[in-house]
Amino acid sequence: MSIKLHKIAAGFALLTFCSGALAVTDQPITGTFKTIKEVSVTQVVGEEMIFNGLQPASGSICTMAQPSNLTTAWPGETKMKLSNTVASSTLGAGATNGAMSGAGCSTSTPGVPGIYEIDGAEGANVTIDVPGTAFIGGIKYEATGCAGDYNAAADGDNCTGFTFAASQTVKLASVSDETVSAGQGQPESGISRIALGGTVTSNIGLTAAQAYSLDFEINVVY
Amino acid sequence: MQPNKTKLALQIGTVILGAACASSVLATTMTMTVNTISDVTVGTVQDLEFGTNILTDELVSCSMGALVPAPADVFSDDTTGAAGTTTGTSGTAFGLLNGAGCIGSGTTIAQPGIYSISGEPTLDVNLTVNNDPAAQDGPYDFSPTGGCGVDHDGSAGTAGTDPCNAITVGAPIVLTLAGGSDSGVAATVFGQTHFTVGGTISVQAGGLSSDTDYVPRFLVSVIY
Repeated sequence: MSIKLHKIAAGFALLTFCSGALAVTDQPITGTFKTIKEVSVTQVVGEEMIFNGLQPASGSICTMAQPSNLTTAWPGETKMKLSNTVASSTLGAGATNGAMSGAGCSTSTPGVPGIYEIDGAEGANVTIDVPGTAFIGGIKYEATGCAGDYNAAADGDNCTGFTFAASQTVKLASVSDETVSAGQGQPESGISRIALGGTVTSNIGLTAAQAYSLDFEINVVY
Repeated sequence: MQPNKTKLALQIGTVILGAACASSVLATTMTMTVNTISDVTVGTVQDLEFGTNILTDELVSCSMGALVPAPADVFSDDTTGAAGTTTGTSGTAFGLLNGAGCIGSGTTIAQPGIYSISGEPTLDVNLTVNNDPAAQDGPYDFSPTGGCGVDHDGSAGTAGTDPCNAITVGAPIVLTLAGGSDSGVAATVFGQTHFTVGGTISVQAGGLSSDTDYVPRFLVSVIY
C-alpha cells in the first residue's frame, strides 16, 4: 500500500512540474513598419518663373494667369506630368499660358509660369504652402497656381488650384497613375508638379529694362 | 488428555504465516496512465505590418486599430458576417491608421497582427499582451494596443456569441478555446482561439530615419 502512495505522490509531483509547460510566458512577437522617404521640392530646370512687363512706376501691378488644366492658361500635361482627358487640358501649353494683365503691366509679352517638382512617397498626400513675400527690393510676390493631384487610376488627374492665402493638399502619383490613355501626359510615381503664376507689386520706382530677382518659399509637408 | 501445546502453537503459526503469505501474493502492482492536457502555444497567422506609412517626424504617434475584425479574419463561427460587426467594442476600422505620425491618417488601412492560441478544446486560457520593456529605448516606443481576442462559446455559430473582446495592454483576458459545437461558418479550429494586435508607434525626440525598416516588438503570455 505504501508503494502506491509513493506512486501517487510522485504523480502529483510530476503533474505540478509539467504544469510549467502549459503556459507561454512573455513570448516576443515582432511586427514591421517602414518610414516613408522625405518629401522634397525642386525647381524644374528650364522652367523658372518669369514675369514680363512690370512698369517702372511705384505701385505697378502685374498678374500672370493662374495655371489650371480647366482653362487654357496651362503649361500642358507633358510638362505637368499628369493625365486628364478633359478637352481644355491640353498636352502642350495652352493659348493663354503665362498671359499677363494688371494695372501697370504691359501685356504684350506673356510670362513664363514657374514649374516645381515634388518628390515623395507614392500615393501620399502632401500639403503645399506658398506664402506671399514682403517687399524685397521694392517688389513683393503673391502666388496663384496649381499642383498635380492624382487619383491613383488611369487618367482623371487634376491640377488643383491654390493661392498664397491658403495651403492646399494634393495626392502624389502612384504606380496605378502611370497607366494612361494615348496622347495624355505621363505621371510618375511619387511625383507631383506645381505650376505658379501670381502677382508682383512694386512699392518703389524701378529701373527700366532691368531684371529683378526675388526669392520666395514653397513649403511641402506630408 | 492434554493437547500438545507445542503442536498447537505450530499449527496456529502456520495458519498465520499462511495468511501472511497469501496476503503478500495478492498485493499486485497495477499500472494506469494519466494524460495531461495539450501544451498551450501561440502562433502567427498574419504579421503586424504598418507598411510604408510612417513619418520621420519626432514627437508624433501613429496608431493602428485592430478591433472589429470580420469573423473569417479570426476564425470565428460567429454568423454576424460582415466586417465591422463582429461584436467588437469599437467602430474603428480594422487596420485603420490614425495620428500625426502616419500618412493617410484616417484613411490608410494597414495590416493588424492576427495570432492563434492552441491548446485543449473548450478550456479557458488567460491571455496577456504586454509592452516589451527591452524594445522601448530606441527612437520610438511601441505599445500593442487596440486588439481583441475571440471568446468561443462551444456552440454553433450565432450572431454575437463568439465575441472578439477588447484586449487591454497588461491586463489578462479570459478566452475559451473552440470546441463542442464551435464549427463551420468561418473554419473554426477546435482547440484554438485567435486574437488581434494593433498598436501605437510613438516617435521620440530626434525622429526616425527616412526610408528605413523598423521592427516593433511586444510580449504575449498565455496560461490555462
